[in-house]
Amino acid sequence: MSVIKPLVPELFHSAFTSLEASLIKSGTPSDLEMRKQALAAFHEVGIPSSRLEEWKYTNLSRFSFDSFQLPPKNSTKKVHLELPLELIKADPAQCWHFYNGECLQRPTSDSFIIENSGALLAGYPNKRENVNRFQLLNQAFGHEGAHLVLPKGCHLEEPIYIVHLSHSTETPLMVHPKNTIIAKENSRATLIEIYLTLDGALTFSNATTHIQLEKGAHISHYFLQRSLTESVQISDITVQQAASSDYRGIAMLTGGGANRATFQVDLNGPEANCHFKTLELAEKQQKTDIFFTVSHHQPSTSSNILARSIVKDSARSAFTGKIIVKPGAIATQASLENKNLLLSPTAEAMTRPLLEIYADDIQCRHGATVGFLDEEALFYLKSRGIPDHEARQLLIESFISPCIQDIPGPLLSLVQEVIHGY
Amino acid sequence: MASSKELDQYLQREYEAGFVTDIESDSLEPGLNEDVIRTISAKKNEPPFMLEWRLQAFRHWQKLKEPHWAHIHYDPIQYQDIVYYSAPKTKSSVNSLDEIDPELLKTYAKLGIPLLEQERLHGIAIDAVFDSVSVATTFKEKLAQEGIIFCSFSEAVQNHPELIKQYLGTVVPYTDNFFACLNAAVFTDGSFCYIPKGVRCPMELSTYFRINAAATGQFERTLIIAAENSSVSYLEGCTAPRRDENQLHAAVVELIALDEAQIKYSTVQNWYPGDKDGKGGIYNFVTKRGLCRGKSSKISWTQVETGSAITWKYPSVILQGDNSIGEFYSVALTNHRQQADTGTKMIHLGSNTRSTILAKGIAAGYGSNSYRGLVQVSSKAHNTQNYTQCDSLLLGSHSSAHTFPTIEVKNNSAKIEHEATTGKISEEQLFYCRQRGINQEDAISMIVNGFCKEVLKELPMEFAVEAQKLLTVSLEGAIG
Amino acid sequence: MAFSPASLLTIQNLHAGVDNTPILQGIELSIGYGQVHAIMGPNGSGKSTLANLLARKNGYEVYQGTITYLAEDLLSFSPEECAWKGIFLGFQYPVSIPGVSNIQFLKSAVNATRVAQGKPPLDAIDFLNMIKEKTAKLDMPSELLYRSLNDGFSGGEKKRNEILQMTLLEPKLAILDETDSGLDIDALKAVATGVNNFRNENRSIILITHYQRLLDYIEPDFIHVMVNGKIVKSGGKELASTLEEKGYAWL
Repeated sequence: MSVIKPLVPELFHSAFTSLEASLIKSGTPSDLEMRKQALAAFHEVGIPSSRLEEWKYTNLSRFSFDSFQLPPKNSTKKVHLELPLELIKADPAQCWHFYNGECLQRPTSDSFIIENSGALLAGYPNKRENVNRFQLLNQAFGHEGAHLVLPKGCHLEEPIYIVHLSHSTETPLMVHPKNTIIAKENSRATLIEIYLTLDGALTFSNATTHIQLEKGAHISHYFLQRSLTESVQISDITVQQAASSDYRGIAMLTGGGANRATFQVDLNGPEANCHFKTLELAEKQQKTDIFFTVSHHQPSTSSNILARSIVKDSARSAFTGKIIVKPGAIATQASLENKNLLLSPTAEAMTRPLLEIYADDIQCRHGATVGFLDEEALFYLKSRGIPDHEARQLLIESFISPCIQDIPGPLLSLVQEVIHGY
Repeated sequence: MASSKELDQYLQREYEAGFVTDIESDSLEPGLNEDVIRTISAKKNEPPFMLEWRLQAFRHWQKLKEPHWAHIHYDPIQYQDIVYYSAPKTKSSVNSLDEIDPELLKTYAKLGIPLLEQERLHGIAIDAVFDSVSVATTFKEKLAQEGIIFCSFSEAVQNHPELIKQYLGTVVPYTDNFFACLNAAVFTDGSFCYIPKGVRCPMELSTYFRINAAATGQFERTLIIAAENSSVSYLEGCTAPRRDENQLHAAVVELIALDEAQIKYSTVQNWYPGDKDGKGGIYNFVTKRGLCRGKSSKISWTQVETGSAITWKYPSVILQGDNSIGEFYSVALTNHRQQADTGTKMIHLGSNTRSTILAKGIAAGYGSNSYRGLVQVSSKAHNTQNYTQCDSLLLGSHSSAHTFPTIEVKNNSAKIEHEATTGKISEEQLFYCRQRGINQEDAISMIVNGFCKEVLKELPMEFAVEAQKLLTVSLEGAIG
Repeated sequence: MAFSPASLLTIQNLHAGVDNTPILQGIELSIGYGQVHAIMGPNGSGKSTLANLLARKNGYEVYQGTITYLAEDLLSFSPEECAWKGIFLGFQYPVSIPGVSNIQFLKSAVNATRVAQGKPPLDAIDFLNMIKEKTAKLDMPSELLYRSLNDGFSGGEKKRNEILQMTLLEPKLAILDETDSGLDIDALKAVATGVNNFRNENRSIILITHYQRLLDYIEPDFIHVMVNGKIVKSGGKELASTLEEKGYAWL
């Protein structure tokens, strides 16, 4: 990791002091030392500057991070809670709801095991090669999150919801959700993970999610990170896959000032597969950025990434897809496709499909396009009597349909609501 | 067919066969400081503006730090250990080709190197052999009739200082990067070419015919200007394995195309790649950039890179003029312990500009081959079109191939398409060839050449034939 | 089966497989000079395995048995040695090699074989003349010669290209693996004509086919039926119509 001078050497110092005080007061200082060390490690590297390749397209320098405070405890906001629930229609038995870091709803299902922390992860080797700075910050400030274990062989029909809401009314607040999902051998479940920043003042959400798939486990993951206000939303998702496991899903980013998701998927056993889609919808001055890395460590693994972005006004989307095939990972098949649609003259798209290949008996391909709505197709639709706006909508929908076709019903309506704005 | 090992041995012998014996007497001590630069400029009899430019570059270089990229590894270069000026070789200790090792001559024949070039490589041509002088003279006369200036860079500084002043450093300023800066301070020689308005250069200009060519320097500087409605095709390089006692090569090539002009720049590079363990071998750091300054201008880069221990080059095109076109065709082959990090940048500034990128990488042995590209569309670049295809072929389980393209689009009327594939020669393809009686080595060579076909056909004819042979020779011993 | 010492190819008790999975379970076969043998059988019976093994494709393990070709041990040959000694395999799914033109490939193959056989290579003009004549006979448009080998060729064009290669290389033993699969009637007729014109008393052919339709056009001397890696029935050409009537289950 190259050393960049931190913006403010004592960044978050006051926030940490008050956290320390409240931990000691509530009698739970057991991980205080670990948190201190994490913050110190963060101070050595600081907020990443856009001169770093990995953070080139997430410009954080315009935000003053020293203004963020941790949310005060015990602020009940039932009113806000109901709003998204209606849209999502989640089954409360399988739902986590957090509001500004406080858990307002815990699942009651007995189909899976609910843990208090991610301590179980210690049993699994940490394959992540480079620790994300925001993970360090999350270790320092991490609050309650969703931690669950899917027992061996269980098949969950209904999805599990993990919903984190953040909302600043006057003071800019920061939240650091932490989630752990361990899927034991041959278990299957659908996970819906939502980060929603509600309309208000500047908010900083920094989430870390770790998903561990044991042999033969199948996880379908639907990830949505959306903001209705100026905000910094950063998520870091680590996925470790054992042999014959299957990880698929879609990540959708929309809204906010800086909206960033980093995915690191490691295929650690033969026949492990990753099929993932990403969708970025950016308008006004929004900036979205997805950095998706898949590392093939073992032979006979496959990955398939499909990424789409639609950008309008003066917004910008960025997508970096990195496929790494380690030595010996023969019979790997990997493909990546990224298509970007620019709807206005000042919209911008940045795309980097990257391949790092160290094994020879493999098949890898990637493709990327940047373009605009097909004039010919538009003309065809209009010549059949479809008005201009509707024709554009149809083409936009067809552009992203490969991405959204597998989204479960309740989430789909939320997604479609966003898309209709475009 | 010669194996890589045998070729290596010939190269050894060539070096031992004796080069210029009096080189020590007229070269400077190793090291780099302002005095060295003044001496270089004085020895070349340069006008004051040239010395001033060099000194400015040197002072700037002293403030810079050498860049390091993740995918190239090399021993640090000791800049103070390099000799920055050597007298041009005037006499070779060999009087005719008969004195050259016949095995080496066989290699040249295999690669199709013309006899004249073989002589030139051994310094024989410079020794006023009547034929070569007359050939060179006839050539120069033909060009002069058209008003074309084609001479060494040093001559151009003497005879056409106004052109040098106008264009030098306009495409690659000395502030551009570390190696370009070093080059600006200490460049020794190179080519200069000016094609006047409306003239289509009647023949391919090649370094073969550079008059009074000294042994190719470490720090070459080339400047080609094509005035309105003119065109030129320039060939650089040689398929013969060329050893040079200098390890670091930092060249700069600037191309400028005015309205409706076209420049085609082809390179076949086979510098000594080092031995099987990666010892020795040339570090080839080159900054090449073309400026499509005029409307409807066109610049094409075509390269076949098989040599050097390390190749670091990104021939680029800045598409400033409306309707201008940039093209990049490349084959990069790495074998043994070679490392290549090469690619292109297409910067779209004007409207209705187009770029095509076709890059083929072949990684064999323990070689590492990276394509690094940038397609940038500025907000005012309306109706840009780009098509990029980069494919990598892995031969053997120890080689690696990487693709690092970056696409940045700030204008929504752009149409950008990028595709890349990585794979190996399939067993099916190999078996098919062998079942038809073609042995494995020939089959691999045929398939690799087929893989590179789209690029090779962009090379001028003779170069293409030489390049194909070169690929075959470079692949020897690569199967594994 | 009686073994004729003058036979071109003799397979005795051949047991072979892939990845430790046995496929051929004791093949006995003898091919004489100038004979056409058809091998039929349901999918998965090992017909293609036998064909690929005879051409010495990598990846097959021989557990037991011998294969003698022209009194030599065929198992000791490399794929190109097989070709030089006159064995030709017409592939079921001919692979494409982009960037390598058909004519360039054909010339390399023909000359490599000629040189190995001690004959001088053909120069460009002689080769071009020879090939134009042969493509015309096969009803192939000459522009196919200048396209990348099998790249974007239709099924029929690929199979005709295989037969063209056979007529150019003049093998002693041609093994045609499902040459008729995926062909329409015109392509089938053209291929059959090519094969029939190729037949003479010095050239033998093994026709591997799933359906008996091809045998209406190319009359075999012998028919063998392979099931589960073994030849379960051999007979003359009448065997084809019996199979057509009763199917493989009858065996």
